[in-house]
Amino acid sequence: MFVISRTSAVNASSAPAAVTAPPTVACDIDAHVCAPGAEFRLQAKFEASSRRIALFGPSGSGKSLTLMALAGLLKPRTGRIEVRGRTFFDAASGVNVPARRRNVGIVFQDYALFPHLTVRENVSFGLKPFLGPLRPVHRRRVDELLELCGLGELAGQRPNQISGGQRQRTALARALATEPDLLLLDEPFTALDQPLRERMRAELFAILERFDMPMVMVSHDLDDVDHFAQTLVAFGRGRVLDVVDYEARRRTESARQILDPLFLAAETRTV
Amino acid sequence: MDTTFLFPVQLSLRVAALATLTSLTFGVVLGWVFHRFRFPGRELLDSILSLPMVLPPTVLGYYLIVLLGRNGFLGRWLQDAFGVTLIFTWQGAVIAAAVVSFPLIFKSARAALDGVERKYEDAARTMGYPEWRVFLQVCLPLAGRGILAGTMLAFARAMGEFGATLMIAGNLPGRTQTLSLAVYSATQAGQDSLAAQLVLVISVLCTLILWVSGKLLAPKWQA
Repeated sequence: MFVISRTSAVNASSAPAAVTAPPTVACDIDAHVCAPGAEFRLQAKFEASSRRIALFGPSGSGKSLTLMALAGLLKPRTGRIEVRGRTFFDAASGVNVPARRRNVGIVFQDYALFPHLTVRENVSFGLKPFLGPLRPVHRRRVDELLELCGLGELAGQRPNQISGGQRQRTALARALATEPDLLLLDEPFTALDQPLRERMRAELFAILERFDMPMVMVSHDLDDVDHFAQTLVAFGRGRVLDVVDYEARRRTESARQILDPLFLAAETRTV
Repeated sequence: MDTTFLFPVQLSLRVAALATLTSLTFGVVLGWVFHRFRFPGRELLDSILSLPMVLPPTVLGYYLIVLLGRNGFLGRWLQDAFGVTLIFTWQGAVIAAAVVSFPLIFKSARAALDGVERKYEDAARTMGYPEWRVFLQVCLPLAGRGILAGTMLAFARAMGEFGATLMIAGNLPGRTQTLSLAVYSATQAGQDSLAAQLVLVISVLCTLILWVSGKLLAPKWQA
């Protein structure tokens, strides 16, 4: 029982090119990932123009790999990636902008905070010149971010000395410090305990509200998506099943009405 | 104290220090190459580079003479181009000790670098770090303790090097006679008290090194 309606895909890639601003993310890639004993094929094709895009689907559906491809940490075999009008990857013309030149911030699933550095050193990592201290303007930005994320008191602590929620905010501050053009959030809440999650979600989104920055979040959690998404890209078995104008549909439908069929489709669809 | 005691001690320290520095440089760079790149013959090359750890030192000495001797392929070139001879010099002893201690650093550097999770390197890359900064500011600090522990072991191994050194540098008192060679000579000549003093020095030094490297291997922060 497939209940996905193509008509709802407002931002689908078939939309006319006559839009004024370039899409936030335009992605059409084909990638192979080889793990020992398993091979995974990702074919992700979508386009989204809103500022908050959620990549939604069950685990193993390819949404995290798509995020890595956007960040430049996974090289697709073929295809094209464009972010806010900038071509990051284009197999046809041999373009592959390295991760360090994409100016994309990323919050990893388990945060990947540097264990040998303090909270402050983690947050200022992307601004630090090879030798010498931070520039005063960067120093102020780090101070502001620490304050904004409620980390001022913890600046001298190491990641293993602070709580999960504090670690998450450190990772967020670190990703924001370089003023990225696009912020990527990879399952930002799965590393947290359930009771903490709700509070952290509210806190995280409150912080993000203050940054006028397009974001892509990967999640398999209905509540995450419902709080976050303007556009929803539904993944299943390595493919994009649908692109949904979530914000518009949410006015008339409940979250479950929109998301449950997508989940079902992702589970049952065969490649 | 006379020079028959002091010379071997100071020569051994100098040889071991220079040899460790050499194998540290090559060991870390090659460990990083193996960590970072996949290429055909990678594991075979790893085995070849680790050979000095398992081959008898005399076999290594033989290889080094073939390579660096007066008729050796590198030795002749060094002689013709720079007028440098390594056979029967203390510099030759440095090369012997460096070759023997290299795998200890290479192995531990590779293992330590492979133990640095990819996500840390990736995080640095997305923050604008070029590969050399990722290596210096992420990989090295996170792998540093493993590399340091390997370096200590390499130093101890270089201090104790005997077979390959004997073959390439000889056992010339006051010129190439290192501590371990001096112990051998003293025992052969019946100079029991000299042998005892030398044995005491090398035993204390090596115990100290093993103790310190054991301390270094204990975790300081957890991920």
